[in-house]
Amino acid sequence: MSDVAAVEVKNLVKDFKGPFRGGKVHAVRDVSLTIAPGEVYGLIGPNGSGKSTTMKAVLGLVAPTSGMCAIFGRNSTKVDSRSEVGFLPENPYFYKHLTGAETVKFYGRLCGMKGLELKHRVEEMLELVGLQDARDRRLKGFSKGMLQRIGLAQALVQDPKLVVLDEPTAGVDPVGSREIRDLILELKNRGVTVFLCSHLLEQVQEICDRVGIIHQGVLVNEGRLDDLISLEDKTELILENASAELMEQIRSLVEVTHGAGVISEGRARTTLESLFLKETQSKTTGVPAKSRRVSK
Amino acid sequence: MSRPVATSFFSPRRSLIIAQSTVTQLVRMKVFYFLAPIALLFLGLQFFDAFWYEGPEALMPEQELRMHKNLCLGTMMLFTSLFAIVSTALLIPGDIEDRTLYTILCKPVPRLDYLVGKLFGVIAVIFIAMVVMDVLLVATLHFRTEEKLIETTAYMTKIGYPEREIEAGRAEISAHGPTLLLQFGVISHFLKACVIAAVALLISTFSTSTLFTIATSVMIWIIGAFQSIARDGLFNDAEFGDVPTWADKIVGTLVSLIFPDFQLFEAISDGAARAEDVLPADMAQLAGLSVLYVGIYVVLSWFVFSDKEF
Amino acid sequence: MKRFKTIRNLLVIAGGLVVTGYLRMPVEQRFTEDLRERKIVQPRIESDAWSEMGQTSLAGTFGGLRTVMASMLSLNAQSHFEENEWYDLKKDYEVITALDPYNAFYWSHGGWHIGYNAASWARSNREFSPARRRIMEMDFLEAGDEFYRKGLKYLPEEESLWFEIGSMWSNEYKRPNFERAAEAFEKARDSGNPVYRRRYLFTIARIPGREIEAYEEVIRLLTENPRHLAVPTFRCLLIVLPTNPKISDIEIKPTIDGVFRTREKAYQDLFNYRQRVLEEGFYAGNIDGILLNLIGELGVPDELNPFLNPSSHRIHTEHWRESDDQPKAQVPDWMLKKKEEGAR
Repeated sequence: MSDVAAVEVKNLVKDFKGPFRGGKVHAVRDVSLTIAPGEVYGLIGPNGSGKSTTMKAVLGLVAPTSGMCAIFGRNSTKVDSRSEVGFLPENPYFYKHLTGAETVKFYGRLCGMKGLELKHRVEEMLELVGLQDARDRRLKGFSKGMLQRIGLAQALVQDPKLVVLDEPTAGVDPVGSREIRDLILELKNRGVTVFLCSHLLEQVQEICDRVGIIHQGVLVNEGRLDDLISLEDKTELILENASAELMEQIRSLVEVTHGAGVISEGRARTTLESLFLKETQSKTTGVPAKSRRVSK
Repeated sequence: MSRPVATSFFSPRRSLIIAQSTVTQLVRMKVFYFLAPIALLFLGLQFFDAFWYEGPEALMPEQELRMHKNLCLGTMMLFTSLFAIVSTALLIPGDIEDRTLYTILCKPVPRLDYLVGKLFGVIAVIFIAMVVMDVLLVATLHFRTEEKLIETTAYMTKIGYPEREIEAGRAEISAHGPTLLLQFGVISHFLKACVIAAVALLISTFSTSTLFTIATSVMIWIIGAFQSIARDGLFNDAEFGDVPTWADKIVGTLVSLIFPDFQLFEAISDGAARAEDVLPADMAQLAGLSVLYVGIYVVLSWFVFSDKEF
Repeated sequence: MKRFKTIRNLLVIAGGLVVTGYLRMPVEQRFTEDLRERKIVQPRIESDAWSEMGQTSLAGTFGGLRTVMASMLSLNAQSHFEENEWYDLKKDYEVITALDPYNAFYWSHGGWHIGYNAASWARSNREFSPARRRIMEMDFLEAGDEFYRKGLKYLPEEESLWFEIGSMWSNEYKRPNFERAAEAFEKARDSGNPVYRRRYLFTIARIPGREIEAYEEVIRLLTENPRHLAVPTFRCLLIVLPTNPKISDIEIKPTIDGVFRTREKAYQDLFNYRQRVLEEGFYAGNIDGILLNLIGELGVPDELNPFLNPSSHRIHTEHWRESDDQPKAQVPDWMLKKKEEGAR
């Protein structure tokens, strides 16, 4: 893996003009983070915490008041830094007068792609996000979920090394949400760096390697996900087909062990999402959802 | 997968991509539907006869043709200027509001490419509209001129004018028909529309609302029609009989320096409509000035837009 | 920071425009002056015209639609003509010509409305007393004259406007003033238009005391272009003017046979010319003597004898045996002799 960080944010400060004369809004206060190549990094925080501002600073849409942002060693404010970046904004809007295929083609051309290579890539992206049937439909007729998918397609069209996703699954149904999640994992497997913001903490938990928590413009916590959320003094044990006698033996063993205790016991739970998927997939198609592969 | 090369300062290719998208956007907004009433107007003029001008006060054929040209050229100018202002004023704020701009600027697209692409997209649509209107103008004027030639020849022959004088009369009428000179008038209006679009582009880069952009651009369009008066006052001090005060001079200087001179474009067009001797050198000079204006406004727009935050 | 940026941006824009303005201003000014000299750029609208413009015209001017507004106003002005609203029509034409001063048609049309139509209306309007009518008629004639002359300031090469002034002042149905008409026709004659040149001649031939000048003019015209002989009045002047006692000592006088195709044709033309003398004030000279000679020589019937049967009718070609009315195209012998003498 390359030594150059995929994303590097150093002492980023961003202030905006406040509602009152002479006042300022400190959107980001001295945030520093580094995303290694091939990592999936999640930035989470409440509304107005500075997530989007940080993301925009990384993408060069806003200039830092002080500090620095770099993508693969290139200053974010330079246009060059964006040649390897794909971005999916929150509530993405694209030119409504374009069709699905035209949208992906447009962004591909802006990245310097052309000819047959672009043509094939457009088809590939539309297949990847499941919008082949809507390729000739204008975007003004797209649902929110479809817009999200086309956003993904344009973000990936030039096969970027870094993908920045702002609320990638916002407004998408559970099936689509799962597919996007699978896609992110696929990207990760291919070595693409993913930087995402999301409110859906469960999803962040499932896919991210590292997480940063930002609150009121300050990065209050950051680290590997496992390290952050594991409770050092607690152990989870899930058993299958355990008999009542076995359970009694385990309880007795814990009771005699100094310092240990049973906090809770009960049936293990699946997630509502898994249940939903299980119910809807098997009932509609009768076959499991096919896995999609991102071509190289 | 081919990797993109280092992004250059300005890429005509990328600007062209954005321009093409802008043309598609405007076309799909059905802007060309306006050509229908204009076509009706031009065709209506073809059949328009000032029937109340009869006998001694009858309009001369040259005057009829001149009126036809003036009305058509005036319509073309009005439409293209307003279209240039409104469409340019809507495009960039529209992209910002829709956040379409984010996805574009997150690709390796320098802001200059974006601005130039938008501007040239508008100019391309104006050009297409101009070509259509020009074809209509030439066609209707051609038929009208032929009609006048036939009428005049018959009249003069009946009266007993010698052949030489009939030919001279025909030549004078033909001079007011669809000649190359008329195209100079059309081109001058196109150039004016390009300059106005560039003005609207500049204003839209720092304006906070589309309405402000449109209103300010229209004001500049109007002031531009009188800029030459202010400039005349500076170069020809007391020519018009009034001695300018210091306040007059300051205002006159500012108006002359800041606002474009649209009178030149109108003058060339009027001259062409009157079949005056407008030379290719005049057109070259006008085109040069237009390029200068558009260049200045684009550079200034880029300056403002380059560090704009979204 | 944002406010600072806004101010900085505005200053840079203003600065950029000012600097480039200084560079382009002289170029634009030279270009404008060149176009103005060639009458491609319209002149400034005069202050009194501004005050007379309606909102629509003003709006058109602001939008750079001067010639379009002028066209539309000229169509609209017709309604004032139909309603005899002469003062409104005059105002309209002042605005029209202010908007498009390089269009000779508007000056011609406006002058015609004011100097002819309005003056005729005033002359024949029984609502007013005779004295009032006369004053109004003269006012309109003067206003028409002034209007044409204003047009000539913008279009000095447009001799047709001088011709119209001359026609207006020589119109026998108005208040003819041949001195003023001659002054105008003299300006028009330099265009080389044969009609204009002849009108000058015909006008000074009606001014007592200018017969010598008229004779010199008729000879000059004939020398330049013998095709003037196609015009009957011209032929008659060639014969009648030399009968003036002050011109009697010229060596070579045009003869009837040298000027007219036939004697009969001569009688016809001279008979008609005599009517013009009586009705329009042309120079009489010895027209009666010439006609009497021809009457005796040709045996003219009584009904065509003006001394026996005075009438205002003209003799037309069908009265005569000769139907070929073609002028003598070749230069008469007596003229050739004069030229040779001049060359010597």
